[in-house]
Amino acid sequence: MKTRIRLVALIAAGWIAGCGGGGGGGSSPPPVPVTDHTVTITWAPNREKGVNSAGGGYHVSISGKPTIDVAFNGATTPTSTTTTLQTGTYSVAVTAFAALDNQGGATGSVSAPSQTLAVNVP
Amino acid sequence: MKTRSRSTIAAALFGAVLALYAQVAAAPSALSALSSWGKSQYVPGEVLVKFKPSAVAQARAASVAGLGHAVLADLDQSGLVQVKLGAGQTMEAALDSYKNDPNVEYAQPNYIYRASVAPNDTQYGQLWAFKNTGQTIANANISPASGTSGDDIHIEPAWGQITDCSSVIVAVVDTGVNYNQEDLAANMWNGSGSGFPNHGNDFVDIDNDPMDLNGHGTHVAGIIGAVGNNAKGTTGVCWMASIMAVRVLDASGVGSTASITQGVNFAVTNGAKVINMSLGGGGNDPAFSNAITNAQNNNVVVVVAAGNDGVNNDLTGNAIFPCNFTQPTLICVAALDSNFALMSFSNFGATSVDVGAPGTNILSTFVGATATISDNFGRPGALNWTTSGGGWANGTLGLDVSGTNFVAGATFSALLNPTTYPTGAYANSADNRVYKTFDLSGVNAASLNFFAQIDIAASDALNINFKAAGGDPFVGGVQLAGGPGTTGGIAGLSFDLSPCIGATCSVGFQLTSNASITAKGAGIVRFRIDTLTLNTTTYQIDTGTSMATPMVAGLAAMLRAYNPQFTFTDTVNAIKNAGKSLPALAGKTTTGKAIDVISSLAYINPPTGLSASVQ
Repeated sequence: MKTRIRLVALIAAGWIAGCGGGGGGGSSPPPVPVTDHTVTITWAPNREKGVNSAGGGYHVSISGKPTIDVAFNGATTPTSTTTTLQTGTYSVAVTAFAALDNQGGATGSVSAPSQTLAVNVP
Repeated sequence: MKTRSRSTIAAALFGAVLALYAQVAAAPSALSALSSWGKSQYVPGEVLVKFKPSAVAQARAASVAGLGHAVLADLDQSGLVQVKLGAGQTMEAALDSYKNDPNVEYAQPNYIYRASVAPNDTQYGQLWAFKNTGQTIANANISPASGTSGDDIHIEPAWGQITDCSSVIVAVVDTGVNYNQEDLAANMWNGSGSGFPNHGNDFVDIDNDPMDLNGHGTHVAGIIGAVGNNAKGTTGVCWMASIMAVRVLDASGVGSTASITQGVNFAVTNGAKVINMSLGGGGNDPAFSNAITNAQNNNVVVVVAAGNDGVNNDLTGNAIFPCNFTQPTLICVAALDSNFALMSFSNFGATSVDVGAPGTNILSTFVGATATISDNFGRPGALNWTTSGGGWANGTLGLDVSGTNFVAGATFSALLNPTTYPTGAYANSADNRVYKTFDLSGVNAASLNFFAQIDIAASDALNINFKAAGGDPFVGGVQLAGGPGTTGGIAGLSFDLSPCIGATCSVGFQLTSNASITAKGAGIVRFRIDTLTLNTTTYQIDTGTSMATPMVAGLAAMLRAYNPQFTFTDTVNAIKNAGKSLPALAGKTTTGKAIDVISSLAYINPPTGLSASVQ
């Protein structure tokens, strides 16, 4: 019986949030509005030549979002990217890439991911 | 040119030493080189576009023209075309545009491919470590003389990216370097501006001439940076290099904490970013450890040898330094054969030894011509050395079951005191001398080598002396080693005899005792004097972890030259993380890997310092 009560409570909370606010009668917490925020993600520059030259750059992975490619722009390889995220918590990780592969060809190499960063968007 | 060395280090017989790691013991072939297109990974200003079969010619033309591009060529009948971008347009933007074009199946860069690059050095075909074709190595000094095709350090693809490491100074802390050798002279460090006109410094003779009087350091230097693609001799990991010669081991390959720490500090002070030390021994030596920490604090990578005892360095009593030091900048190297098996002589250690690299039958630059003067003490006839005071005789010795102690037998011609050795005891109140004169004229260096088992009481002494003028070396001669002691078994002993060079060099043994206690005495076998005459054209095959170590040091230099911003940590990561996993090294090294040059060059460290700001 206890299990069932919890399940109902969760469904109710989800329904309230989904409504995007509304009257909020009684003692229920006020709903969290879903809003867009500008999020800038930065990281330290890699020191590999390949990352900082043609064919190199970074992949920025944000949970639930398409990967953002930050490529060498002809002069430098940027170490930040700015995107818009809605309210929520996101896992962010960055990998670095370069054109040279481990056979001497140009099919590319990718680093292991950076440590994951949890980003809370209010 | 240096011709003489002065060193009277009491070697393994009576104290701890640091010795080099080589087992000492050359041939030709040539491969052609091919390199083009600079260093870009793709043809700038171009892309390849593959149109869908449904896209008619008019639609294709419109797609290309609409972006301001032009078709350079139809590459096949299936709709693949080579496109020239407009002025100022980036490849990335063009690829994005074509990706969104419904007529396009795919678009890609016009990648550049390079042939694996091999140098034209005349003996390149013998360098199995760089290109293992299963070739038979001429004058191999250890089995196997031929191995498995492909079991090499995968360097030819890397040479398509970089061959010039001269922006990174590599210090060879060793027996010195023959900086006049034909395949090294152009790749030596220029220290003239720093007051070191001979490409380094000498902490054995305490002068600024690090000429090699042994050969070990010159061989090591050639593996790192013998001039490549010069149509002579061999090549190093780096075709162009900046090799700093730091002499810390004498002509017999022996040095001390004092000489080595000075050498390491000199290298650091004068800008080396990679240090190779194919040496080991001693104990847990804080002065030595501090020198390596100083190197690390100055962003220097230190590559060292695991040792040639075939033991696990992790076990108590087996630790060898500097291999067993724990600074993160240190890479300790085991030796692989040409089948990429761990060699039986190579030390290993799951927590102390990091990677494997080729270390058998390695052909490299050498210091000059060597010769050996052997002596069997007149056997099978009478002792043909001069004696005084009795006690000494020639005879024979055998080995016990363990192979570590002398017993009666006929295996070796021997010099004995007492004459009944290994039974009985030497006399009390003795002054037993035995010596012989050798002609060492016309050479640049000499070393005295023999095997002995020695048991001399604390109040007595066994002295080993030489005298350049000949005659009794215990009258006005120079002591190489002396005093009481025990070798505890058969020991290989080596001494620098270079100060005795000349036509009348006498070498002798003296056993002195007091009137009380006696002990077993001494048995001496395989007495020989190795001589060296410097030249600039010799190449030689050597085997040992000493030879594996510079493979890694050369790679470290290449990585730092290719990635000028690399820290020691980046360099160590690229070497350790990108190697080739080998079953033979699993559980025997920290990585379980052999080095792989192109993989290290392509290795990318994970990004760090991730942060986010929300507005």
